[in-house]
Order: sequence, then structure tokens, then C-alpha cells
Amino acid sequence: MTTASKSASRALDRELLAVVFAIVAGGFLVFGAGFANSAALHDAGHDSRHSMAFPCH
Amino acid sequence: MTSRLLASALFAGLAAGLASAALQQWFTVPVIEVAELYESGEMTHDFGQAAAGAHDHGDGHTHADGAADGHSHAADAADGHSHAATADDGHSHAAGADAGHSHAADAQGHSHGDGPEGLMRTGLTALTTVLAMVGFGLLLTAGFSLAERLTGARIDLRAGLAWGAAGFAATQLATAVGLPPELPGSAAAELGARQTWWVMAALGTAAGIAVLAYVPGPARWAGLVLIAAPHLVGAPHPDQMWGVVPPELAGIFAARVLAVGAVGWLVLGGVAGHLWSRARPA
Repeated sequence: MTTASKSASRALDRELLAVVFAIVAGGFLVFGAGFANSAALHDAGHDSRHSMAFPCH
Repeated sequence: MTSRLLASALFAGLAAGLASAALQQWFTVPVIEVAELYESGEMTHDFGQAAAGAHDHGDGHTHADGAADGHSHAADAADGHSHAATADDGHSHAAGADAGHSHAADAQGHSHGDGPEGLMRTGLTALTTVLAMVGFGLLLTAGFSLAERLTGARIDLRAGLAWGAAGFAATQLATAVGLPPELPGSAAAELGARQTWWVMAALGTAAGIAVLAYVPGPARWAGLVLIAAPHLVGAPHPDQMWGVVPPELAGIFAARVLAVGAVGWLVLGGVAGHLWSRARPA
């Protein structure tokens, strides 16, 4: 494996890591904003949840 | 590369979130605030009884002064609900009225009375919307990366707009077909079942559009099955419609939610696609 292709594949792996991180973090944020059952999150996000058509109440 | 994915999502999410938050304050939050007056019983909906009497079609739609808008204040109704008045009109609201009362008890559980008010409420609403849009942005740019890897597609501003439209179709349009945007005080099935169906409809539609757009050959039509499946299963609905909010209010709310959602998603997809392509490594 040449140095160039090694660094290219490392860069690719890092982006794949970023993809996995983005899916986990994105899912976490959407869940927290729209779905989490905690009363504090519900009250804080109430108008936003209704306005974004997440099921609420 | 790593930073390209995260930075595109963050900036696009911030832009789309702030735009959505502003539009929500303008268009949807005022409707929610009126709906909460009905939910709390401060206002009651008399299902057209007053309006029917008050309309004077003889002289060009003048309304009587009394309860001309079809709404009567709770103070006038002994128990805060005027559904009983409509029990005889054949729409069987009498049964629904009981459910309405139990919902009033629900409402206390949601502590709307104790919830944040004023600037704090506006700020928390905006914050929640921004966080949700950043979250959707992260999922979107993860999708950009996977699409470029798997299909050789190149995502730019135009493709980003198409992805934004797909995101809107998945998380707003398809979900609204089964579960239209709800106002406080609307009748709805059990929350967990609705959330499960919402996620299934959103994922099915997103995957279906991706298959239609990126799978070559006739196999792409399998995407239609993914899009249709949640609707064949069907969204959970309440046994009875007993919502205390006037349908006129619910209608305008649903339309506004979808319009605001469309703008937010197009901003999200367009900005994310533009930043993504601009930062593309040589």
C-alpha cells in the first residue's frame, strides 16, 4: 500500500467515523427535542414539538 | 472531512433552526396559545350551535353580538365544558364529553400552568427547534456522505435542496398523512403508539425516497413499497374524536406547520449541501 493510498483510506475511515457519530448525535438530538418523555424536556419543547408536528401529549 | 460533515450540519441546522423558530413565533405559536385556552377550559367550543343561531344570511352574513364567533366563555358553562349542549344534535358528543373531562385532568399532568412563560418560553421553544434542526442536519450530512460513497453522486446546493425536500416529505408530509399536526386539546391515540408510527413513517419514507433516487434499474421501484408501508399499517387513531379545539383552528394550524416545516427543511438542505460541496477536499 502506498503512502498516498494509506492516508486516503485513513481519511475515509475518519469520515466513516464522523458518519456514525453524526447518526448517533443527530438521533439523540431529534429524540431529545421531539420524543423524550421527561417532563422538563416536554415543557421546554412543548411549542416546538407541536410546531414541528412531533406527536405530543 | 470529519469537520466538513459536522460543520455543514451545525451551520445548516443553526440557520434552519433560527429561520424555523422565527416562523413558528409568527405563524404556529399564536395558534397554540389560543388552543390552550380551549384545552384549559378558559374558552369552550360549542360546535356551531351559537354560530348557527347567530348567522344572519338574510342581510349578508352579519353576526349577532353574543357568542357570534361560535365560542362561549367557560364562565358561562357550569362545568367549563359546553359539550353537553350538543349532546342532542346527533353527533354523539355526549360520550366524547366524558373523554374531554378526563383530558382536562390529563392537562394538569402536562403542567401547562407551570410551564415556562413569556421570554423564557419563546427562548426554550427556539432552542428546542434549533437543536432538532441540528439533529436533522447531522442525519442529513451523514446521508450525504453515505450517498457519495455508495453511489458516486455529488451533493451540492441543488442536490441539498432535493435532500431537504425529501426530509420534509419524510418527517412532515408523510407523518402528517397519518398523524396531522396536533394542537393542544386535540383527541389522539396513546402517545407511545403515535411516536412509534411517526418514526416508522419517517424512516420508511426517507429510505423509500433514497431507494427511488439512488438505486439503479427497476429495483428502485421497491422504494414505493417502503413509502406506502406505514400507511398500509395505518397510524394509531383515537376511538372517539372529542377534541375541545375548534376544527377551524386545527386546520389553520396543520397548514401552517407544514408550510413552516417546508421552509425550514429547504434552508437546512440547501445550506448543508452548499457548505458540503464548498468544503469538498480536492
